[in-house]
Amino acid sequence: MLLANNIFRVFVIETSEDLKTRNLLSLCNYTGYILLIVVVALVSVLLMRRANMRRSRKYDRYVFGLLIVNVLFSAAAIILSAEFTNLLICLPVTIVCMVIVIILNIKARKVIGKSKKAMRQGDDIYE
Amino acid sequence: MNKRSPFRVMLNLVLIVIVVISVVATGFVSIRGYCSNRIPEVYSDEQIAKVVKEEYSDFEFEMDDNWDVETLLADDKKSFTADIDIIRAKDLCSTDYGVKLTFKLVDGVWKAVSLPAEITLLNNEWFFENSEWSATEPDGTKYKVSFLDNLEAELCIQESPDPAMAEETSVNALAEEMAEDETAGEEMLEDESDNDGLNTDEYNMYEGLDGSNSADIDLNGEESSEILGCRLMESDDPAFFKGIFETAYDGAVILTVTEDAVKLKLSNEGRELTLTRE
Repeated sequence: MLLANNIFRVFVIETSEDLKTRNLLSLCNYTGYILLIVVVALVSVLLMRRANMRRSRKYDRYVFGLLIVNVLFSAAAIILSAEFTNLLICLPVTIVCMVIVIILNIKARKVIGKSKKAMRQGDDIYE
Repeated sequence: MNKRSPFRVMLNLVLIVIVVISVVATGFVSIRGYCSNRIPEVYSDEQIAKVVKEEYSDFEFEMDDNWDVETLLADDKKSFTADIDIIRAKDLCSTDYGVKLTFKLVDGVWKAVSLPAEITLLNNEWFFENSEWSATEPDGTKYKVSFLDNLEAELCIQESPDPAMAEETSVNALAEEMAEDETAGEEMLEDESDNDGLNTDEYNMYEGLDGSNSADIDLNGEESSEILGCRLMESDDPAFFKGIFETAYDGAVILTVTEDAVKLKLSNEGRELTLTRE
């Protein structure tokens, strides 16, 4: 979604001739960045709630560390995209951040995703 | 029962704080980015005129100035130029002033970045050539100014006769006629060539426009006129022309042509007459 929004911005800047249309599309573009960070925030809070269901302390640092870094990199990627108009500057950083976030999400999902099954099996004893 | 350790609570709080900060920071950056990247409509003529009046406050703007503003948006839409013509049309003169401004988009607002030092005079066109202007004083003396080509002007002063003097002159003329009748027989004997210079009722001393003057004086007390010529000189200030008519008797008469009036200053009396177009 972030990549799509960035490409949409290029379209807004380069192709739109009419000023009113351009301003409207630009508003949509920046609203898109805000919506993206809101989505990231909601997902992070949901993951946090999910992680809180698990009582195992040994996962605390790992899971919440993943979530915190996930939010930080997501916000960095979105803010950089919104701040810099030049894609050559912000795109590589954005892509790096996004790759890190995706990797972290997959890891977090693996850890948190086990929790329901583990809970059912009774191995989520709080130590 | 879900028990949370203080460490986990702290991690929860840190995560929430980071989430809130991220949302606020992204929102701030996005709104600021939109404000700085949006391109407002190019200034209207009225807005540009307002900017010009603010920037050139020492220029004497007038209420009836005609503003002709042409704007050209740059290809990147981040700047535009405004070519401004201020046309000041008066009865006798049309003056065209011009200035070219460049506006640049700074934080979503147009700002004038390229300002010439002053508003320049582009053209100054006068309309008084080949026109006639006149004014009549209460005593009946008529001043008539005719503008010719090449900034030459002609002043005709027509003085009305003094009634008392006119009566006296007519009596003298009758006496002269009677005397002429009595001596008619004698004159018939003399050479006709001797009579050529004696019947002169008026004299003419017209000398042309360069410091010229001519006068038609009727010895019978009727209307007499004096014609004077001069060449107008443009003043340093392009707003008016000035010419001086040298009269034979009363000194100089100063003609002033401003943007909206033709005036004569009668130096002998220090009065100023405003002439009207005929």
